[in-house]
Amino acid sequence: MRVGVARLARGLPWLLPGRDLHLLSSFARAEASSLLDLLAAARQTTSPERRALYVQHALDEAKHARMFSSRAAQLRAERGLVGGDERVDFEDLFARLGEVGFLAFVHRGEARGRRQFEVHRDTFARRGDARTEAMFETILGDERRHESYTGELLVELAGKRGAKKALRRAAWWEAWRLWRRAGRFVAQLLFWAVMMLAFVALTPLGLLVRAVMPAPRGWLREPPR
Amino acid sequence: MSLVGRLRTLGELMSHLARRQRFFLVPLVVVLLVGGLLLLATGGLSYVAPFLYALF
Amino acid sequence: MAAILGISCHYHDAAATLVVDGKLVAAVHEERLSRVKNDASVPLRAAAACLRIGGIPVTALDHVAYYENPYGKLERVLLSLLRAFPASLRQFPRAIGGQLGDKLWIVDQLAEGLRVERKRVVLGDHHRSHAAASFYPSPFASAAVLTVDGVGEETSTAIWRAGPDGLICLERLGFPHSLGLFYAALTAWLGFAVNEGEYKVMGLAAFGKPRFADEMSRLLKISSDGSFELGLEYFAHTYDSALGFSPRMETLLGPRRMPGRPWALGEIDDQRYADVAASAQAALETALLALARRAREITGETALCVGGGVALNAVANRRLLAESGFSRVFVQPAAGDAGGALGAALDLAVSRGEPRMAPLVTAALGDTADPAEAASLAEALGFRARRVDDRAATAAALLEAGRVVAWVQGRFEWGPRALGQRSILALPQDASVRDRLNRVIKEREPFRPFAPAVSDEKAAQLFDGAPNDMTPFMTTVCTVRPEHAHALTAVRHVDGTARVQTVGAHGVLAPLLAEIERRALPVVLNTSLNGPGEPIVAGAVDAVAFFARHPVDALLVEDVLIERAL
Repeated sequence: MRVGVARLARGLPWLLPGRDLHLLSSFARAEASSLLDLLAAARQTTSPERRALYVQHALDEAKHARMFSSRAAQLRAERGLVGGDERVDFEDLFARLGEVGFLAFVHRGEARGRRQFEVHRDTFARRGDARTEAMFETILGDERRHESYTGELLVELAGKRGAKKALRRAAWWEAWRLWRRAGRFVAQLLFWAVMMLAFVALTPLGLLVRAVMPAPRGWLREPPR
Repeated sequence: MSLVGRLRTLGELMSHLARRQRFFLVPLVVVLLVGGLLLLATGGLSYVAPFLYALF
Repeated sequence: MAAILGISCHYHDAAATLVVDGKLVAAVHEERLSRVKNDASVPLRAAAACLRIGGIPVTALDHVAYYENPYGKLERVLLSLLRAFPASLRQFPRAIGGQLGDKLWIVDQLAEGLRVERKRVVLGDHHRSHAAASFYPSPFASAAVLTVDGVGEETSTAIWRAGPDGLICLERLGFPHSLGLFYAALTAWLGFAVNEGEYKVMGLAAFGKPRFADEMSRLLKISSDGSFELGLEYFAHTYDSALGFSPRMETLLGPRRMPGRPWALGEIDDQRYADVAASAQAALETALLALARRAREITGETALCVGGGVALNAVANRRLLAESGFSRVFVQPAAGDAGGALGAALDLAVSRGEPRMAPLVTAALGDTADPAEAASLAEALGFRARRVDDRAATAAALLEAGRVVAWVQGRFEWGPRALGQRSILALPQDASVRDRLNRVIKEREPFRPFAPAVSDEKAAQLFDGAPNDMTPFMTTVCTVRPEHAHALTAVRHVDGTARVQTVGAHGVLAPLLAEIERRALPVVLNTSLNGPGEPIVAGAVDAVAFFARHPVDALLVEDVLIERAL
């Protein structure tokens, strides 16, 4: 669905002010988070061969994250904007999903990333921005490799049928997470609204506390507790 | 997630506030908790926006 | 056998420590294992690692000591939101969400996450944890203790008397008047990330002249009794934690520096920023000296321990030793909130009658790295790996050939500094080495200095004031003696100081320094083994991944030497 949106929106994010920056930053963040998950996988897997594969994959993600975040930093500097946030999400998916589940999730993620980036690369090709097109093309090469090796490993570990099952389970899990994210978004809006009301209702208490309980100054001798 | 544990925590919070004689905070906490339950219900605040300095 | 697990988390630097029968067995920062820098989440990995290192199953734990009191924190948060009414509007939902949605429930999170009974979790006091972490590992039988940080439950600064009877808090200063928040606000104004950038401000200060003393005195007012107050109108921490400072700060000091902008210290703009940094550093030092003198007056002790995040300011620590009137000063390596995990466990142990821990001699309290794993991973990635007989000689030969060596030995360090367990090493004679390290490998601002490691026997010849109680843990700086200034350019900061690590005869770097001493000054440049924005490397996978990404010349994991294929 995300690919469909990307196709529909096509040139749009890159035209809307600030949106292209947001997109690059979120790609950088996704790659950086993927890097952490892969390193964690490398640490936890029992097979030395797979460990090397995950580390190699992690190194690629690190490279991509760098590429996205330096492009974002360049754009930010050009526009005189304040620096971006360096948030990273780390959920230790290997520990949560097991090796097979992890591989299925990563395989789907790489496939999805590849499709999204193909759309974006074409957008830049059409606009004549050879540099950004080349950036996506480089990254695409890596993503295709990632997609194929994770697919192969999945079949190797779980068998053909097991692989299909794992991929289906990963798809369901992703859908559920999307649902949870949507729910959380709604809940946060509600929460914010309720808190604003509560704040307003606190006006008398706030003014009272300000008047009769100001913050202490100077040396305090009584023990805190 | 242990409900009993969580209730005990609330009890400890209340006795702390009582010991420190901040009774006016007790109803405030209750009201806010009710508001907070909205978030808890949908999986909670596992990710909170980044603070410049983790004070709160 | 009594086993206590200490925990700190939720705000900064989550960590876990293990104290068994009063002895410190393990201490681990969560960020080293999760690989998320400054990870503040509940440190389940670090806890598991501590238990594994100590060989203690979780069922054998007597207590889990948490470093602060979440109820006290919530109380202060609510009160300060009310006091700052109505400016605290934006902060209100965030703060309530953070407190009531997450931080309040730490006891349950620990009980469920660690699978221990709820009643085994013991809550501590934030500043008390800092005080315990700075006193009990010290070599002093009794001492004055000064804890200075951003804010604990409601205290920002405290003076303690410490001795065989434990810790007694004599007096304290309350939020919002806080040296940690003062420095943090200026860190933010200078365009650095708070809780990360304070080191950078400290390094930048040496390039400037403290000519903004008047402005600083409006921000930070020091009284004759050693206490201080902030000019609250310039700060924002009373009502909004996402802003670093209020608009009035920019009226006073001028526009803030944009984060991420490259530094050009030759130019007027950046020189002015350096002058502000220098002024802030000078103001902080003056305040700390006043506090230390007060501590001396009211305790009558001759030794001082300093804890809390502000104790990480090594430059100020040098002045404390030189000018506060105390004859000895000790600062434990993880003086920030991670240290709270250590302090909570030690304080609980002592209160249960367990013997006090032996003075801290090494910060190597983490987990080891497996050389066999490193070798097989390196080969699979296309590097060469082989065992060497004499690691010190091998490393020395590489260093003398002008190479940069990533060095992984033993258990990784407790605290933010690398002390020879997970270090990048080079010889300090060559300034181009420093540039290469700063620019290409660590990608830091050009004004960031590197640190030297030297044997404690030779330290006095090369550095003034070394060795002292702080130098084994790099928590202070010393002036490089002028006759050696040239030889030590790469580790000498612009003001002539260096953050020295003195290595004892049994230190992990001792054989290497001895090798180097045969042909040159026994000093090695030591910087932490990590890339920009990542935590210090912990295990074999991290080390080899680092080697693959950054152009160091060789990686030595225990006795396995890894180099790039020709």
